[in-house]
Amino acid sequence: MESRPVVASAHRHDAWCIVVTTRLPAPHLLRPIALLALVLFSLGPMLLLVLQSFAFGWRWPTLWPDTLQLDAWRNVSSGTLGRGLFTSAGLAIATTCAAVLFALPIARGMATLPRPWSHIAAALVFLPVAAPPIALGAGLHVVALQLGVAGSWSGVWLAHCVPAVGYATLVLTGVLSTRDARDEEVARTLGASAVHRWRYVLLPQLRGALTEAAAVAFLVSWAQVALTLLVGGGAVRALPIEVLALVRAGQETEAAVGAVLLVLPAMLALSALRRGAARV
Amino acid sequence: MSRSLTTPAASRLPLLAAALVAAPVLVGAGYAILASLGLAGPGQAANGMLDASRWHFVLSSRSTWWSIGWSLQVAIISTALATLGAVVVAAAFSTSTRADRWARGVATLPLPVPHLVAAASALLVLGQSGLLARIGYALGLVQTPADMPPLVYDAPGVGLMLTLAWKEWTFLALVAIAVRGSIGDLYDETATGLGARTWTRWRLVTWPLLWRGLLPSVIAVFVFALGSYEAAVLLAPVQPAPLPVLTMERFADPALARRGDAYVLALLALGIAALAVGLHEWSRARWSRLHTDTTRGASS
Amino acid sequence: MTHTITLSVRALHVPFGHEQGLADISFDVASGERLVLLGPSGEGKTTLLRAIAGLVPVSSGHVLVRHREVTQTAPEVRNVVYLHQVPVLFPHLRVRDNVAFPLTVRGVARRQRDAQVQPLLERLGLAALPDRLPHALSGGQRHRVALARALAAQPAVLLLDEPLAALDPALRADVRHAIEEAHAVSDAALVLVTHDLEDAARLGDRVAVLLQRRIAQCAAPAELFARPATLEVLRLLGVHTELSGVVLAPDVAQTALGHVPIVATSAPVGAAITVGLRASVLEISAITEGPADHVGATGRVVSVQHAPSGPLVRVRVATQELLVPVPGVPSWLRLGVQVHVQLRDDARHEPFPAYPC
Repeated sequence: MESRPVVASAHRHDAWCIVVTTRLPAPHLLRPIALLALVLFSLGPMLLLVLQSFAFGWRWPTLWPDTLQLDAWRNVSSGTLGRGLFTSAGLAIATTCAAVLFALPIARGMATLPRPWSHIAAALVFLPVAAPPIALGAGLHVVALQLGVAGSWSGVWLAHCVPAVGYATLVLTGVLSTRDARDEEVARTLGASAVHRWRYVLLPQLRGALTEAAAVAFLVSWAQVALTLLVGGGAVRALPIEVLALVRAGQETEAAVGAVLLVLPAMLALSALRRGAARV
Repeated sequence: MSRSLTTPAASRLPLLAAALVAAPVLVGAGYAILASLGLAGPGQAANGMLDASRWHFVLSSRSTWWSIGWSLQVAIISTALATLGAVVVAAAFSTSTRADRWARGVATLPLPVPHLVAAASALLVLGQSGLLARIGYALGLVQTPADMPPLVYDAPGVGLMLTLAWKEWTFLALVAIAVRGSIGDLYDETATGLGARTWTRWRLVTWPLLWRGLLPSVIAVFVFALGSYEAAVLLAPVQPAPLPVLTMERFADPALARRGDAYVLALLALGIAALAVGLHEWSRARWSRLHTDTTRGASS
Repeated sequence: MTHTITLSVRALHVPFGHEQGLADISFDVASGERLVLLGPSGEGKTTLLRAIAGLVPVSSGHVLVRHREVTQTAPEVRNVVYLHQVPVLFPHLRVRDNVAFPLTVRGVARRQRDAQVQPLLERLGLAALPDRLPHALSGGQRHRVALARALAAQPAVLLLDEPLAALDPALRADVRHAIEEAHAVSDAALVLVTHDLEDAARLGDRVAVLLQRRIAQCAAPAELFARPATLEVLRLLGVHTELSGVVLAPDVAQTALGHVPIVATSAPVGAAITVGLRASVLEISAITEGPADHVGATGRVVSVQHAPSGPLVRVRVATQELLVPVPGVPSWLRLGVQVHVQLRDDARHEPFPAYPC
């Protein structure tokens, strides 16, 4: 939006008309305050967790921990959190690979469906995403029992794949259905085989979407609690399970460390994703 | 939408593939039905006979409906709060200035934060000896932790509501920003030329379109809030237990016979989710019809 | 048509992206009059319209609507309605509500709204569609709804931005009629932007030619085609052939076709000029025995083109090529054949535009 001095008088209070209807003080003050509030609201809770992870004793009613130390962090590699991290990473990577591999051809096929089949397909794909994990896990647990994988890593992995494939498909369908597929027609008439078309036409254009789908699938598995608990039966100790146990046990500092470990990779992945998308 | 390059028979294949994605849920639901009737799973009756007693027990027990109602209420309120916050962010920081873009980035930064972590930090902030209470102490409003009104483990579930709202707000803000961007300025401009002032434009043009674009995500957020286990287990009161927590309790019930309850509850939850999926797709179809068709060219 | 000036643009300077903007734009449009802004793409016609509507800022100059200065006022109170090239209908409102929108925002009560909207719907052929949503309308119907809606706002000035661009011929005629019908029930001053000459000639009471970010000429179509103000305008119109010549007298020029009457020029005798000849004033005939007693020249046929208006013969005369229409292609006409090119009898006394080189 270029600057519009002529329309400035009509537009200046645009946003704030919705939020406040009374007379405003100088608008230039309100915006920085709103920005500050936004930062505190969005990042505050996370920063508090980080602080807690370094805390050793934090008595009432101080606003700062009694002492700060690295012990809880140092113990990560040797303790349950370290093992949980490892387990979760393995599960998440495996889930991501499977999810993207399945989602891509499915999404591509879905993009060619006419209405109303496309809507039915979209609803079907959304089902594993919307299904409450506890409910889903209960059913999948019985399935896992039948398959003999209940309580094992593979069982949990398969369970994670169920919502992950759904999420990844949704992400890819969004991009594929709005894409102009005529470039594939052109490639065909120019003699490109299916493999060539995938390699030179489709995949380069889908790089952003594929990254996004992978990120979502990773997150679904990484943060998963209910499915891991129900299908893993407590035997598969993924990181969120350990963190949950620590929180319930009241071990605030260790729990905070685990929470930060949970969040950090996810946030880094997301910002890398955004920067990649912005560059494209 | 891209044109199909396949023959009519093969063109139904993608539908099958989509069904494959949903299959685990349906299969799981199928097995859950069997388990709830004592025909499979840990609660399996020794004689292999159909046993509908768990259904009867769960559906007639007051605590079931209390839980469902409580969960629904929490989900509705937290979704409403998240929607409000998202719309404010999308409207307030809608221009392309550096500050606005930065603000939008900050607002959507907590997107990858898991429910579990959000709940854990909620305990630190909203707990009776948490940050808010300590700020209250510094301001002289609170003397001891007990003076702080309970926001977690409380009957109305305020802490849970706030946490769910916080988590879902970032997602909805992202969608709201995208929808607002895709609506663009043309309608606003046209309305301006026809004599509509700022508030009227918002009320008659921008907001109705924004809402229709946002509705599918609002429904999705509602379902996510309803189904969240980890936030509920950390922040909700013991009674009434939210639906996911109740389900988990029954699932791990030492009395094997009562484990069937978990499957009944799971099926109820899946039923609600299926309903929401239908609504979601309906609202999404309506939005895409409204939105993409009017950006077509003038030649028909 | 009354002659009160509804829209006045005075010495308007409009910035245009990072390039040099529109400079010194001035014109008036009377109530009920149709002014067409003609010019090549990228000249800033859309920017000019949007500046008049108040959607882009101006660096200097004045816009007056009904003698009221509106240059600094917000678009919603200027009483100027701007229509985009592709009709922008509110997708969530039905046809009836779209058309009633200007009344809704002015707080008109429902019953009164319906009463005012109904005649507009009927006038523009939309009476059968009041409950349709925009996505279910055809292209022509969408244009009509946009026009009806604009009329409901009872604007003083109506701005149409390339309404007929990118339309197929059938739809074009449909929308052209819709514009004429709409304008017939309104006393708004209508400014229409196009890069198409046919539309300009058909729709405009006057045509303002925008060239190099300025108004090169503003005249009725007949005047414009007969006497383009500059060589650039002549070239833009694209219906003239250029013939080089030399000034013999202020109103006569010596050309390859002989003596040709020209519009009085201030160029001195002997100066080189370019004369603009519309193709329709020329004719060809076979070379005959005997002395040539007409104004004309001999040339060689280079090619025959088939245009929608009829066959055109391209003849090379000396160093120039002239395009001459023929009612039909005679049997003796072939490539390379020598022909005689001359001015038609009935066109011989009308002075032609001439421009110094």
